[in-house]
Amino acid sequence: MKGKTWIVVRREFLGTITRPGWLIGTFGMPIFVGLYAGLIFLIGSTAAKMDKPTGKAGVVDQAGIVRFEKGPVGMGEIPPEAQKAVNDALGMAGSSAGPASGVVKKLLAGTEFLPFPDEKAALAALEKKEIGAVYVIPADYVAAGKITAYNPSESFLSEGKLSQVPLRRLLVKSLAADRVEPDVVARILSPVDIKTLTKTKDGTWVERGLAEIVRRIGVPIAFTFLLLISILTSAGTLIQGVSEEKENRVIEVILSSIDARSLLLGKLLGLGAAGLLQLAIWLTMALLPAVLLIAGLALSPMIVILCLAYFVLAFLLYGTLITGTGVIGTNAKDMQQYGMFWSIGSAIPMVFLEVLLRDPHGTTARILSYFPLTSAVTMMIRIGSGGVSWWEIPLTLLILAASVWIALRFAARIFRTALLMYGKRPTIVEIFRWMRQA
Amino acid sequence: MPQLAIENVVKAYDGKLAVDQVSFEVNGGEVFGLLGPNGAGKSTLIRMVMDILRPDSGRILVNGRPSIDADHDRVGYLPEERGLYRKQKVIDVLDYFGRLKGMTGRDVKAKAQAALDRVGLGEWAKKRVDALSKGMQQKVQIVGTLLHEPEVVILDEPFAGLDPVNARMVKDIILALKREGRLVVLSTHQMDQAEELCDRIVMIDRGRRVLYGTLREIKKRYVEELRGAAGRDNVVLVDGEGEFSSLPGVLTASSVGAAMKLTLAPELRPERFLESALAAGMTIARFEAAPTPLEEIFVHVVTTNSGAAA
Repeated sequence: MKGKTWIVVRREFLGTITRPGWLIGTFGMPIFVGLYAGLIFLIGSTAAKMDKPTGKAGVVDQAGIVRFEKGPVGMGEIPPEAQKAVNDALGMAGSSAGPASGVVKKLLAGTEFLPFPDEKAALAALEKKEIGAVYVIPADYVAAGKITAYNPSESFLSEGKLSQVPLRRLLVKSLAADRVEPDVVARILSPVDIKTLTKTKDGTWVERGLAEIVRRIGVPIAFTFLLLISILTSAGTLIQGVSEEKENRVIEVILSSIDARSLLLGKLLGLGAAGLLQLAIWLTMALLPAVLLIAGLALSPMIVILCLAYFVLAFLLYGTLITGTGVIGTNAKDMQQYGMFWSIGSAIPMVFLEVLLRDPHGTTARILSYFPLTSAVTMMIRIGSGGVSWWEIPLTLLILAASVWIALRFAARIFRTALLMYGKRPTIVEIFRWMRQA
Repeated sequence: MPQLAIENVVKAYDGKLAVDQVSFEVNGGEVFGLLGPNGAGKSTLIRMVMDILRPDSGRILVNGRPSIDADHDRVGYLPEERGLYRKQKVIDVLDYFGRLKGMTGRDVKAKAQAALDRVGLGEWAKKRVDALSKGMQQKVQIVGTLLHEPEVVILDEPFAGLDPVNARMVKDIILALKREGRLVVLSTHQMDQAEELCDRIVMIDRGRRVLYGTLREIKKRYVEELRGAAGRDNVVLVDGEGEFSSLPGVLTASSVGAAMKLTLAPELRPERFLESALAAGMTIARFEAAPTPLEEIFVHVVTTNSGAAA
């Protein structure tokens, strides 16, 4: 790469990272998110103190059907994997989650149901906060199926709401007792524990756990999201800078010292580096969760490297196209509108997400992989799914790199001519003529 | 070998010729005028010299060979459409311009401050560009153009928007560059400036070369065409007291400042006119053959061209 390109890279990079907007976005965003999270925990803690769960509910059994159990009746319906994930998350948050984590844990642990002789005694216990809710089961319950609940809180996370799930389980067990075999009761309460097997490329059937599902769907979505954010912010900054240079009439001095292609490449690399630094700072500020996420999803270092390679190439391609198109505009607003048209392209694979996940190596997946605008995101989805042929990775990277090179060549021609036009909007015919000109 | 040679260069926009088969040569140590009316193709020609635009055909040679990237570092270019990064410090803008011309950071630092001191902007080095007046910004632009001590300096309408003091400063800079043996290409449509500064000129109109040579050659060639067979002696400047236009043999009269410019009949020699004016009791403070201003030639060529085109 030419030395002058590096001068532009250096200037764009340093110019961007010392800009107040960038500094506020980079350091302000995590602080804002932290403050927001802190506020939620503060409110949660306060609410928890005000409405501390007891883990108990009173039952006035006028129908005489309830078989009370010692200890809490569980939530049951929540899959064990999800329950573990919630517990792990609360464990990771540790003391920072404050009393709120204790509240959630207690609510998820289930409810212990205590018998009361009448409503008056139960409501007295409720008033003293010895129990979180009261259920009155009338004498005609079996025929009518109606129950009255006393719930002092309107919160959707109150014991009066959450204890209804364990109550259903308790009633099923009570009604089935002595009539149905215990193992059948267990099946009624938890009819299925599905183990899903899916077919891989080599024809074998494998089980996909929650982590794998997150890896297959979450990683590409996160990749697309980060790519889109980077394209929108960096290309926006780039177009703003170029429009300033055009409006300030400084561009001709610059183009007399460096050719348009090197200038464009330098700007893209400089701003791209600033974008990556911003991501790195965000990840560093949230280092522990990021490391745990990568470890938890069992992402191999190779996937992380490929992710970076596709990211950089896709960023350069979109940045080039956005800038090459944007410069046609006569002012900053026009430039933004023209350029941002391309950013839609990066989200196209998400429209086909269902098709790509169902058949990650089918015709649609392959077409989207070899089409430069959709290649990066599609390949991330396919790599996450596993079974991509080894040669497809260098091939798609090569297609992307070649596309960047070609886009740079044509964009530089438009860039050079359009930047010297002041106040005149070119026609489509003119644009094609510029692209043909050597 | 000329330092810069333009050979049959052609450039068209939308099928319309902006530069049509233009050729000329420029040598080191001279101030060369690139003249022409607005829209004549001067800026397009300069942009091709700077490799910002590519010619459709023809060649541009630097020291006898096609220009390469390194040649651009030896050229200082002040475009007609010029500006600065308004939100940056003056010294930072100069640093960027200098580095793009191949200077090191240390070199820029040393030379930029000295150059700013010379144009009276030393104390403004660390101020933002938008804090400077328009005249100050133009001085910074000129400093940026010359910072890397270029062998060739191309100035496109350098006097546009300048007050007389700053215009004088630019003229002094151009003359200093000439004394240092540098090649200066001065593009302008202000003929008085060109006449004062240029050794040779090329005039372009509607993309075509219409005049080329030294000022002396051009004036000599056009004086008869403009003033008839009697030549330049038939037009005189008279400064004094009296109704000079009422004297016999005076065909036309017009004011030129405090003086009168008179066109005499071909058979009336200037000395005979002077004798008759003195005899008529008129007082004369100045009496001389009127020079043929470049502007007159310029207007003549452009209008003739326009008539031919029509």
